[in-house]
Amino acid sequence: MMKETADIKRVEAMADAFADERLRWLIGKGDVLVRNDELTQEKFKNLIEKTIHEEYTRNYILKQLADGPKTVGEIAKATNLESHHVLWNLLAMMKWNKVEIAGEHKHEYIYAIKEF
Amino acid sequence: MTIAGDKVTYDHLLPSETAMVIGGGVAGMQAALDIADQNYRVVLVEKSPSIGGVMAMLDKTFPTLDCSACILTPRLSEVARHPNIELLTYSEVVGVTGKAGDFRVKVLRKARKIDEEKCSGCGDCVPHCPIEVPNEFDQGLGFRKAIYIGFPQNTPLVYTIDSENCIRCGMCEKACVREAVMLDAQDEEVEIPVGAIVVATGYELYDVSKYPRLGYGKYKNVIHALEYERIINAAGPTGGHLMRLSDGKIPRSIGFVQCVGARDLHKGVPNCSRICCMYSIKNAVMAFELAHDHVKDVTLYYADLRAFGKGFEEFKEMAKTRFGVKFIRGRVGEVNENPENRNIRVRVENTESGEFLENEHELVVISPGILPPRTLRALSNQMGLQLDSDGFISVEHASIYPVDTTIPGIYVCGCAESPKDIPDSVAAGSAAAMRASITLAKGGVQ
Repeated sequence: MMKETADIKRVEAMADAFADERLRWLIGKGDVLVRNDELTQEKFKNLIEKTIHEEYTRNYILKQLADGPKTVGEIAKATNLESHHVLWNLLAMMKWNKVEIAGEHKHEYIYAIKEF
Repeated sequence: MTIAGDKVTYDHLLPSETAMVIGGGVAGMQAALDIADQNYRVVLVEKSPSIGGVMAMLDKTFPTLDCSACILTPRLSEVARHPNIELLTYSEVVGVTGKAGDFRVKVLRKARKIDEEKCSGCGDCVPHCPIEVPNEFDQGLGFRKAIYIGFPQNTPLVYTIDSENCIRCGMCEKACVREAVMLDAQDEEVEIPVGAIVVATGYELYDVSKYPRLGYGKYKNVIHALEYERIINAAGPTGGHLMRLSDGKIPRSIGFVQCVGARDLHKGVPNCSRICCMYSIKNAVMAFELAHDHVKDVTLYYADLRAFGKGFEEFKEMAKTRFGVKFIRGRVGEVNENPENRNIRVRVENTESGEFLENEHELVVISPGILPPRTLRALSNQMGLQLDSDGFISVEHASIYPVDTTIPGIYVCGCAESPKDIPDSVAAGSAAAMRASITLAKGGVQ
């Protein structure tokens, strides 16, 4: 049951990543830019891979936070991601106002989805 | 004709009434303001998209623990609004000819790709840019888009498109209702006539990864002092929450390692950087200030403590007695990581007691020495300036002409001449401004 929930969250995170305008625009514009020699095929491929990875990871972390505020350690355990990787993406989401630090617990910060 | 319109010329400037300041850090800003306040025109050239220099990156200043941005921001605004100062950011000096009273300076104005007149700094373009890269202003710990300002007080408050990472998707262009985006803009070279020049090109940090034994770049919980400044800064990547980078935990024990890339003949850096002792003591105190419920041990490993300035010795004593910062005399031999908890083990000989120690810290902060910027040699060649053996700009006489370079009409201030703290940089900025205005007043005759 736990594994099924985790798998569903992964699929939802990937769907959210591709629904997000950042990835949609990049995919939509990328081919045109390559055709017009604004971007090399290799640079475009690297960019798409990096962006998919970032957007998927961040949406997967957001799925965990949707269940309630969590520490880096808790998110890392639930997602099986490296702690520093979780932190890196949390800092990015703090920058883009999606996540905030909501408190502290046993020398760790607690992260929550930012409410507007 | 450029995409922005007619080519910008500076023919209206008279060399007898105009000075140029190269570098928009705290020393250069002071020099520009002091010259401009004497009713001369000043062209302030800064290579990055904003003035402010390294001081804009700092959290607090020593020994008063004043908020660095709170002191600097009014200065940024004063420079930007001064009627006698023309600000050329994102620009570099590429050639100088002439003599005191009548120089011609070639400046490369890199294409910001944003119309400075039209951009209001609203930031509506940012969410639409699909490219995310590490922010240099946050020492790579935070993020920015390909269209960006480095920090909230960016002066001028105008966005810049980073040509290296921009893919020209045009999303920012569509988002900008003021039509300020100019993706086809090209770099432009201009020639500016000036009577005197002040060089205030600042410094850069020693690359501490050149000491592999200290683990920087290998262990995530070994960082350098400017990274620490950004981490504890409220406008920084963590929102001012002290944390270590391996797992985001609040460090209970922090070690500061001094004299890395300074006073080391083997690395070709025999000079003392003057500021590292004090900025590290300040950073040690800030750990207790920010996370006093968590931080229980802060240890500073030093070769010699040089607390030479006004109030510095008292500040050091306060760090020791009031905050409990521990000082251990000894240069750190090596560090390695405890694989179980990612803590950092520091090996050092306490040269006062003769003990060999292995202390474990949750975070280690390396204090790099400071060096002249890598571009200073090229600039000095263009201007005919002499450099000292340590790479900083040589002056006519260290005691009686401390801001006069060996070229009449060209002056130097701040860390372009030698490592300095903020008050000394500001004082040197004022001194260079006075020397430059004398040159202007005399029409170049010394």
